Amino acid sequence: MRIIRAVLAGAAVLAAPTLLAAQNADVQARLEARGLPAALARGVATIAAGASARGVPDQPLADKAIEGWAKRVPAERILGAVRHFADEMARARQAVTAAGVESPSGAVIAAAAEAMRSGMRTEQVRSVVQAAAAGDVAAPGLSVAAALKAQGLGGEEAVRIVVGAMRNHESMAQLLDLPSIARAMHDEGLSPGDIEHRMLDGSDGGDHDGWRSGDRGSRPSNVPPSTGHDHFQGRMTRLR
Amino acid sequence: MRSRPAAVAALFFLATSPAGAQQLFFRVGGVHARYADTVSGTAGVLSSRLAWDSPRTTGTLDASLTQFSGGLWAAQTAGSVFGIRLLTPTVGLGVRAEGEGGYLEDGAWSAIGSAGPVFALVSGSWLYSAGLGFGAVRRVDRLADATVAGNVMVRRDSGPFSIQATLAATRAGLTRIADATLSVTYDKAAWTVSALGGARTGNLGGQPWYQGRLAFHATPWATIEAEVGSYPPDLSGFTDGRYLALGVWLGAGPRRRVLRHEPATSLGAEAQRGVTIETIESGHQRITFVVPGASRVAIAGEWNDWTPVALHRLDGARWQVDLALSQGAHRFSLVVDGGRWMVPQGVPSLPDDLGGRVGLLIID
Repeated sequence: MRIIRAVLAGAAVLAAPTLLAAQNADVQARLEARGLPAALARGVATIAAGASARGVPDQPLADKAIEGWAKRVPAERILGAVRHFADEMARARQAVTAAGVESPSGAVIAAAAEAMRSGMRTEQVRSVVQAAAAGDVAAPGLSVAAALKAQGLGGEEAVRIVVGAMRNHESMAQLLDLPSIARAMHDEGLSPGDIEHRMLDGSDGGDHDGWRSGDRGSRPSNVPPSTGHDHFQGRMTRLR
Repeated sequence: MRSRPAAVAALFFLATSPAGAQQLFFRVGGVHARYADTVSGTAGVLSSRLAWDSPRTTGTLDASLTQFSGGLWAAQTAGSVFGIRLLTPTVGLGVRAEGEGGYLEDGAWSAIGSAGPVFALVSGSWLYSAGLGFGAVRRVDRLADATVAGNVMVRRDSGPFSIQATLAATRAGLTRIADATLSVTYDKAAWTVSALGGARTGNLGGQPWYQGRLAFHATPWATIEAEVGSYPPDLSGFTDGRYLALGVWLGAGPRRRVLRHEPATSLGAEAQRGVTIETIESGHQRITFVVPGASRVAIAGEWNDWTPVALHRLDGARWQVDLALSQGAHRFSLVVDGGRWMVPQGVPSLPDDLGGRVGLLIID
């Protein structure tokens, strides 16, 4: 048994560089297919291979390089940005794994890195990931928190809103609608504090009672109807 | 016979609890009412509200059961569905259907329902709407009539204040009425204060009415409220009255965040944002950006390896493109006049690590 384990471990050690090289080749091929110069593609692929060895996804790094190339950013700055993003994702991965997710997906790691770049702290990222009952909600939840923060809400407020929505078991569509709602409230002139209050506390469900369209009177729904004395047959108090 | 109120309550709450309701609220309270200056009563009231809410449709279903201290009981239910579609970022056309019914223990009951189109227009923080309703009423005297109603509404949301004025004209058989109402709502921190005044002309009473409400949102799931006011007689044959009510709303499930924002109101916010996203079919979106002063606009994002795709100009500063994006947050930028990468105003954006910013296009 010990011999088998040793053989497997040896095979893994031998295979690792091969796998990394394969990933490296995938990234390089994708970048070259998009028109990046071979030298730049090779440099990004090398960074991506190193990042993969740390458990960091490589495709977001390729995306970053393509974005930079499309925006006509000089190659050196693209490499610097890719390297920086790899480091951000490594820190984000630590934050996500500290939240109890042993093998986070690339999407969650990239979203966590983005959230941290927007100014969210490690423990805030952890809160969102922990509140996500299902893994597939964690990435959009982090993106929504980052978007809310980018809209001017504080990191704490953004996290409380997202975590509150998750704990309310809101659907993915409702979660993704939060930035639109916050924006609408902002456009109304509400302060970030008021936005947070209204989004967290919601309404009481009774705000519209009694405020009907007015085309057939407006008796509040919690006031019982009456036809006057005819139907009460003395069981209510006469006021004559 | 004592089991009848409980049976009616159970029937109401079971019938009004279909799966899928996004919000469920219960209200426990008391009311003292004085009807048509001849009788009064004090009662306990148990109410429920179910609500559905999506970006373009809303629905509510209310039910309540009242037990008077003198033994009489009454039940009522009301529901409405409203859906709207954007014709332009500032104009919407929708349909509203609503109805309600009331029942007294001795067998008197009424029902009224109507449906019709609603037109909404947004300009800045102002919302204007006009609607028609066609329906029928069954009165407590067992007579029935077709109804035709029209109303116009103007509303302004400004910070914690919301002000709304409505004019409504209704015809049901020989009854013709025209109502005017003005309401103001102040919503700040844990408090909501509302006031409404109304006046009527026609052959169904001419006394003005007033209503006030004070609500304290004690916790995210509990609100204490006090209401006082009066109301006019309605088309169904029930009398006018005055009331004083106290109650506690208890909520369960996700809350509707912007209850005072009907979907039409969100048109206003969208008009002020730099982007409008409309689903044209499953997985396909029609996206409109506001980019002032541009002669060419393209969009590029991570979904297409940042390859710019040209937008077509709608008019003035509005540019449109149809995309097939999955649900989620997508990083993107606009390319203006072939070389300037930018994120339109009003779209959440983050540093791109490349010396600029990247926008988040959120598809829900």
